[in-house]
Amino acid sequence: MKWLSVSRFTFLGGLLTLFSLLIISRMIAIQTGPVAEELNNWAKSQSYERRIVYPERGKIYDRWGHLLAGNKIVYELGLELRQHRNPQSIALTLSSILPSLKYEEVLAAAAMPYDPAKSAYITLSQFVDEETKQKIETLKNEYDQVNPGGKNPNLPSLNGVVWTPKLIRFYPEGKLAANVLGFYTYANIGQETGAQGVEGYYNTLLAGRPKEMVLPFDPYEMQALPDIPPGADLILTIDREMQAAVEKILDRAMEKNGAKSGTVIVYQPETGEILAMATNPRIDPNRYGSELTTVLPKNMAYNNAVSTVYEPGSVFKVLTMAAAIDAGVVTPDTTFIDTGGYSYGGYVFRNWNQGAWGEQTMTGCMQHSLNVCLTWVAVEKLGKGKFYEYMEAFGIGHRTNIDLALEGQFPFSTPLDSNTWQSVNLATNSFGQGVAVTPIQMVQAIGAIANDGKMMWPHVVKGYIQDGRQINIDPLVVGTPVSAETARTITKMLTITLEEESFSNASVPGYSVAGKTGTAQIPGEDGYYLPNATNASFVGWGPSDDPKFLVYIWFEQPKADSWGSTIAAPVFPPIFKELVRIGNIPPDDIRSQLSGR
Amino acid sequence: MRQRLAQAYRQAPWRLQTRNILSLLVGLVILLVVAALYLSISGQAATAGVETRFLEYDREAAQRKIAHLEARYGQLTSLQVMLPRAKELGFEEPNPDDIVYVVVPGYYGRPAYVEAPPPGTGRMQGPIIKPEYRQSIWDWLFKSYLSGPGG
Repeated sequence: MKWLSVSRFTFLGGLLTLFSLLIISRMIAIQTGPVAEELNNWAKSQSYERRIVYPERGKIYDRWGHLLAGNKIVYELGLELRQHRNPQSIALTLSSILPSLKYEEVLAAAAMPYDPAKSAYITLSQFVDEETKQKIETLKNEYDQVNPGGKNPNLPSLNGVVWTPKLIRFYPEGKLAANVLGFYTYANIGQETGAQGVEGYYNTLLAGRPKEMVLPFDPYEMQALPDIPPGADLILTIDREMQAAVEKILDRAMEKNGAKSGTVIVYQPETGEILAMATNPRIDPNRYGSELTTVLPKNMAYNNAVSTVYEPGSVFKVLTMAAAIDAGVVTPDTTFIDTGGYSYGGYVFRNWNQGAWGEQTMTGCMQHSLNVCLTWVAVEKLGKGKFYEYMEAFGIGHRTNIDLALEGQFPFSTPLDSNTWQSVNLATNSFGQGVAVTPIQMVQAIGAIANDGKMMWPHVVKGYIQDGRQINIDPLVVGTPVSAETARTITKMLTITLEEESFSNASVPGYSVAGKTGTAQIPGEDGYYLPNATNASFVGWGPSDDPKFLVYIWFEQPKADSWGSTIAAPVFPPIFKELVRIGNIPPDDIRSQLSGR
Repeated sequence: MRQRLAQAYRQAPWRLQTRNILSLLVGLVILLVVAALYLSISGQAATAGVETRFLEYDREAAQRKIAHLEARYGQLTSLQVMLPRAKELGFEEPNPDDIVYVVVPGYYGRPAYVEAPPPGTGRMQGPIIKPEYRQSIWDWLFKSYLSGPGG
């Protein structure tokens, strides 16, 4: 009996020892064998989460801190196929709440079997708003109370429907300043980027720096997430109220004149800040996907103010006359006898009404916008050397480098370009034909006249906030094409012009303003000017003694009439009235009273 | 005589058995206490880790919420909303002829907008828990006694 008991314990002990040795040997084999490295790598890969954290895109404000572009929560709606589902119930509920979802498509997705390798999750909709998500959530909870876990296939259930929050770009003012803001292509998943306007130009700054992090699952190795600084916020020079007022007036004018497009720029000559920049047509950047093709005509730039070049016509005469006066070759009182035609380079140049205006001073030439007179000034008084020297100084043919995406530019032919320049160019250029500029180029150049000869860099961003600091952008002088005296003389001439020109429609009661109309023919694809198609422009600035605003107006191919004086000039007074009201600029008499105190 | 003495001082077998069992039990209890302590600390650390993760998610959600509320505020104070509201409340746009300009000493116009950003903590990514609290007993024994001087 004793022998039997000893041998049983010995046997059991031996068996357990053998089993332990087997386990140990297997452990050693696994840890040192060929699968060891593979297992080790697998274990490591499962021990942490690699995550790229994208900072919140920077916000955009107007000059007074009104939000123009922010970020709002939307939800990605999806199906977790691992969960128990009622496909009919899911398809019926979601297709009735979200019209973009088709019943058949949702049904097919919801009926799909779970496969961890291939189909574990299906995205149903990318941008579900808060309100819709609330509806779905409420229904899901209600169904879950009646049919917990969706186990009963005869009762409705939204089990398996999940939503994930994310931020997308949102423009609370809708279409306001859309041409300046640009848009963010949030719907292009994986390829989101800022496009057009400041969104495009400052995309890198707004986007911030994404950070990749390795987060271990081991609680002992828990990492504190670092602060991911959001993208830089931008403060624009745009004044929201001025922008809205200008857009309203522009839209109304477009309805009346039937132009193909309209552009207005409001510029502060002293600083180069753009206070308003309106274009028509313009889109709602919240709906950029559909409106880019439905609202904007094909081949039309997103922002005509900076991207489209056109022949400006007589508004260009401001620069020709400024050059002549600054060069000292004429004075406002220099006389010219207009016979109605001027021959040069094998062509005869005539006035807008084909008429002869007799003896005219330079002020009279500007007042009546006489092509013949300005051709004479450029050809006989300035000469090609000085004319093109001044145009170069005014930046014609060069980009202004405004901080907006896709600024356009057309090369300006000068006598140095022997292949493209002909002597006739000097004559046509003097009254703004045969030269293509963007509205913003004209604004920068004529802005020098309104700012004592100092040409300021036009810009739309006043400052930005990055890494906890606000950096303000200082005004920048980019050139002094003419003297302060010349600039004041031109302003005075053009103030008289508006005061005395009965058909200008551009005078503003209570304020002295300077201005010039422009009507230009439009070259067709064959190089010849199109019949019955013009560009109507107007540039005005004031108050004349201390210009606070320069307004540039351009209507492309208006239908109601073809002249800058009847189409563009009448738009100036209502805009200027709004600007002085919002900008708190009193009328001239009150200003002189206040300054005399 | 010698044999008698040995027999007189020999422990009774049941006493020896009891002593051995007690020694084994004491060792086992110590082992269990250490294991329990170890398990408890591990459990607490895991809970804290998971809670930290949830708090990070909460922070992200809060940041999203702040951004959303700012956008909502921007929408509620947009011109499209404010102008009709102002009209409903009886406000009118001023007629230029009705505006009275007065000089206000010390007032130099509307001040430029300054967006004061919230100060960042400047926190870098790194472990939250100190190494002393992340060591296992083996790490502690090895570091303190077995790795030699300076180990």
